[in-house]
Amino acid sequence: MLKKPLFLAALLFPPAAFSDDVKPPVFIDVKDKGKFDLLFDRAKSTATGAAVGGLIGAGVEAAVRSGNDEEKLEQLRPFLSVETCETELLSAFEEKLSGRGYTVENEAPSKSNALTVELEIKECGFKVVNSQTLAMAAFINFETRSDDTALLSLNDETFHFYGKERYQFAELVDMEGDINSAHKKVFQKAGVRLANKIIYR
Amino acid sequence: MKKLIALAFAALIQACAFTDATLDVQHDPSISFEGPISEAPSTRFLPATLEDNRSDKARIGWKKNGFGQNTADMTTAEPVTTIISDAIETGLSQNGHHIVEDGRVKIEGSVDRFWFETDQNFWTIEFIGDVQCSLAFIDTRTGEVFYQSTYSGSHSEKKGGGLSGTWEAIMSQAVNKLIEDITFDEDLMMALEALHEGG
Repeated sequence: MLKKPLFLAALLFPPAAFSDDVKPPVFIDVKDKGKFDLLFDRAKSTATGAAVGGLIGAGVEAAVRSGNDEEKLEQLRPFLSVETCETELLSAFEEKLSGRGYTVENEAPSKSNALTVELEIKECGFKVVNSQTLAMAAFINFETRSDDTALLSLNDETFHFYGKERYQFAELVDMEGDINSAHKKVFQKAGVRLANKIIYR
Repeated sequence: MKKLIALAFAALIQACAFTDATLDVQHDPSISFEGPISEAPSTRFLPATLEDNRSDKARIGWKKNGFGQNTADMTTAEPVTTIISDAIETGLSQNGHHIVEDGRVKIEGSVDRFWFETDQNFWTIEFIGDVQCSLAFIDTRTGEVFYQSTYSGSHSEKKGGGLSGTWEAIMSQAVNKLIEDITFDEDLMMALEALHEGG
């Protein structure tokens, strides 16, 4: 007597093909790890070179600024724990996703339901954020790309993160090894944000 | 005749550089800003009240000539405090919270930065929008601040050139990023959870 109603109930409420608890694997393809950099003179850009010497003047000015920044970076290099910025970002990314039941693949997955996102770290390190006071902050800028329809919010998306603390360059030099906690916090925040963009897609 | 037309055109171009630009900067409510704060219990918020705390309140940027000299102001069609408070309300609403006149939580704060600038590179111009605010979340039952934080949204694009449409789009995207910074704030989510657990 109950067969027909049970059959109808089974049609209306079929077993779910995919449970909400089953998370697809995630593969992050790092296209650019991001060389740790220091933008001081380059972050105080003006058009002086271009105004004085046109394209050649602009090129010369850019080279001079880059050289000056490299000299400053050399003062910090003995204390830096990283040469590229992806490690701390990916560590936080993986930890966040794992905590929500996702697995992060290190190689291109064979499973067709895997979520794939490309990561390109454009700039990272420390940069001047106030050209008047020359206050600096840890920062990271990166781009993501994904052909996955489930990750539309990460397709051709740019991200900019700055630390909340501000430093003068001399303070960064004086911090020595403690300088690493400054950039680690920002890179980890970026990794958590990237993970949350997948979790809340 | 051709010389006259060329001179007139050059004069017009020069005049544009000295004309103030008013940008209609708006967040995009069609974007999904769902984030961790959606997991906090649904909360009733009063509309945000913000002060303009920018060091330069007269403008959001400068129009510049080919030598990088400031030539005219860039401003917004609406006050920056309205732009940001509207953005906050969209972010909260999209995450299951409500903006009402008798809310449990009051949001007070300030717009600290709302700035557009250009960076002349070798072949391209980088357009940069940066928005920052400070928010305090207040329990209206006790009058106490139960959470506060600073938030920021930045967006930049490198292009061969761009006019007011580009500038508007860059700043609007910076506001979108600000909303995301708020709705993805896990500490805010936990603070709202604790607020509700406290009764």
